[in-house]
Amino acid sequence: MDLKSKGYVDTDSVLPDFLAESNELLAGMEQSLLLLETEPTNQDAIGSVFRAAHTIKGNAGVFGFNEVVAFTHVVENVLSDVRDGKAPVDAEIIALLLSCRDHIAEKLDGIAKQKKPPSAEHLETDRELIGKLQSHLAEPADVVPSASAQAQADAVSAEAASNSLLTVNSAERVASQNWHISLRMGRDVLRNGMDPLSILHYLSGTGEIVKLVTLVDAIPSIQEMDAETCYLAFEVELQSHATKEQIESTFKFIRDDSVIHILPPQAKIAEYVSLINERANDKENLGEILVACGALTESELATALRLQQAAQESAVPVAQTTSAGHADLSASPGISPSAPLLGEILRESGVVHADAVDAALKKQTQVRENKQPETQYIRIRADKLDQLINRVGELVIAGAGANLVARRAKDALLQEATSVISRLVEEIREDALSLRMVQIGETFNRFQRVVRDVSRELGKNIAMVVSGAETELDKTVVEKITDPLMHLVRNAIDHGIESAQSRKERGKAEQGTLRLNAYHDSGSIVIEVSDDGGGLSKDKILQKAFERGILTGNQSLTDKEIYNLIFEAGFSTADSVTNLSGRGVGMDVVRRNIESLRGTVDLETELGVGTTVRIRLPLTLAIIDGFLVGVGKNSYVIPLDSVVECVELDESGYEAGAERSYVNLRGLILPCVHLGKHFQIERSGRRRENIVVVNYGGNKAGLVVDELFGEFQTVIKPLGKLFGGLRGISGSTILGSGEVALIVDVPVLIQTAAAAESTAPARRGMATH
Amino acid sequence: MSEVTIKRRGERVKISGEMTIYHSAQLKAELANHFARCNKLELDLSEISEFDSAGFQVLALFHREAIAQKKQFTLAKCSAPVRAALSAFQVDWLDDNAGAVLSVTMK
Repeated sequence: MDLKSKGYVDTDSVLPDFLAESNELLAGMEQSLLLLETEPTNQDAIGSVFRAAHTIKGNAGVFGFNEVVAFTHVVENVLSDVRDGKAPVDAEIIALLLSCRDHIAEKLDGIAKQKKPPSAEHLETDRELIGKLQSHLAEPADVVPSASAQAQADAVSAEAASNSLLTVNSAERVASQNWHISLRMGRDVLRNGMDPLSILHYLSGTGEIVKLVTLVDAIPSIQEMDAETCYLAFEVELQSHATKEQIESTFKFIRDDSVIHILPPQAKIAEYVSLINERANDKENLGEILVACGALTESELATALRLQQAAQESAVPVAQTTSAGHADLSASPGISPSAPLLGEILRESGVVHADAVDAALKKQTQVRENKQPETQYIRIRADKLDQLINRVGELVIAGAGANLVARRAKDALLQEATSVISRLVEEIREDALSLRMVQIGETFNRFQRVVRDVSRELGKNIAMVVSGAETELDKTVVEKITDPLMHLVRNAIDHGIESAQSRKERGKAEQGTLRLNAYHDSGSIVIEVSDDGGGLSKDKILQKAFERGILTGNQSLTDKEIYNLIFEAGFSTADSVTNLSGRGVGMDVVRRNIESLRGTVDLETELGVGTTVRIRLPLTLAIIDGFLVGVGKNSYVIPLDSVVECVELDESGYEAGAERSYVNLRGLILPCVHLGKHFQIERSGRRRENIVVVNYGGNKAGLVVDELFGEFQTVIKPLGKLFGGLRGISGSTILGSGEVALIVDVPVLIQTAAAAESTAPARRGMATH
Repeated sequence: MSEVTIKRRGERVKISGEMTIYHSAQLKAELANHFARCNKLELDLSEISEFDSAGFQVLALFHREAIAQKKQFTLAKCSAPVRAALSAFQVDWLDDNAGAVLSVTMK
């Protein structure tokens, strides 16, 4: 049954959710499969793979994506055998399941891109994979041979029938095109302020109530009747194009204590049988009521009763609900011991709706157990979040303005009020930014598959070790860093780690290790990609650099500078990959990508031991804590995270600083940059000066400024293209007074300071990029 | 604030005001009292201003008991809220006298 064409499901609005959820499930499935490779007996992993396939099938069924349902069903069958221990977990089956996962992903991708129909190639893979899957099945008879939706539906219902033992005609469907809703009001519905009358009214908003039978049999005798207790029950025939969820939502206020059954149009007779069974002890003749409603015809009822009898004779506990007492009736499905039966029975019926019920039940369970982390998240559109962050940015600026006015007004009460507001704004800013923060682990895990596939392709044995997966960083940064990381990972596998053979010859462990590590360091996140491979040869790099004309003359470079040469544009070309031990094409692209995120990248290597590429990125791109300083009449913001301390520059120090651009800080040499000189600002006479000591990536430097204004929340506004070539400035911000302050690019300034220091006679020039 | 009032004129009972959960206990008690002493129950609901499921249940109770005890049950006049509710519940108690059935559920 194609639900979509009948309009039961408004696919457009929820389709993105379906796709997003499915992709998450597929990602989890991949993780678990890879885990199974190393721990074939891990039951949790098997279970999670199975659940992923099952849920995707169920959801796809609701949307009427029969292609996906049919294929996933076969996968699920195999998984079910695996779970029950009927099929072994070996490399072959994991490889097959991984291909199946990719195939499902491809199908979903096709849906997302509205590609129709699937390509011949895709269908070929379909057949091929199904063929392979079948060979893994313990009982191949249970498999759907074709992707035909009807065959699929039949197979599932046959399966259901054999499970429930309702073998006689259980797949037969009733003729009624209406939803049938069976309502047993909870005893406290009225006391809780709910009026069944309004609920019926509300229900009529989802469709047309064709027929309604009000049951008052539950009202006890005059003496016993409590006028405030609700005894009402209804059997409703509803003509509606609403989804099951929409209809269910009608009852959301009463569903905790009432018993509600919703049967879809053309439900199976078996479903009605279970409904009748459930009410068998209720002094009601539900069968006749259903006929009166028009839910069943006389002959359908006869079939149902036959089925009921058959079921009772074979002593199946289907009818053995303990619903004799009203207490059980008021229990909500899924909680009382007898209740799961309902879910089971409903699940065993019609395929598509069965899955809908399944999904609904699963959701309820999830909410109840609260174990599944997904339920703790809300999906929000990214642009809404961006808008919020922008607003908060404006709020920060406006708050700073208000603060300034308050300080000028010298009104104590006003100042106090604004300082409270400032604190709150700061907290809101933190919260807003943390909304964007995601853990990097997810990105790291994506590489697990890459490592596996590429290393197999190359015949290498490589393990991936992840640490610091819980380190958080801005989502936009994560998105942009994925490609460069992928590049580095591939490079490490391809060129870094040697083949098992040569590793053995060198006396290393046969299995190479690729390490991904992340940690926070003074306002930055550091991501390391390291391998224990061959490392880089200094001589070869130098040789190459001269060949490429990157180095001329006889510059003397530190080791670090030599290694970083491989990030130079034009350094690596295709043929250099074979000449050098590794680090091939496009490292300059990696560096460009990272620098566009205001990050840096450098490399450490030791010949024969391994290579580490270290990426350093700002945590967020939007707002930073700044330290406001004044130089002349201008204001500058130094990122607070990099500020170590502030010291006064005394007269003698200034003299020294003026000549040699470094000062003596408690016995240590501190290279200094005069911001005023660096930015060529005219200074109004001689003033007392201060040094702001900054730290970045292990280097310390001093920035000489005139005035210290203190902490300042800074909303980063990008500089226009016009200022793209400006060195030492990473952005601008607007002060509360409306003036513009420039944000100092500490890494560049430190480099400048270091370069200036190294121009000292002992050493010669260095390649600043 | 209109309360519910029950007036007896011979066998006919006139209920006015709110026939809702707030007064359903009182209503049930007084009707039960009346029902025990009469051979027929004739209700005038023309001045009911509000009518909810609790009110409906009380009516349903006496409707059923009347049939069971072979007493006459008549809804003489109904106000608009009562009519609306009865039609929502799809019961057919209006304009019929003894032996009215509550659809097919009555055995």
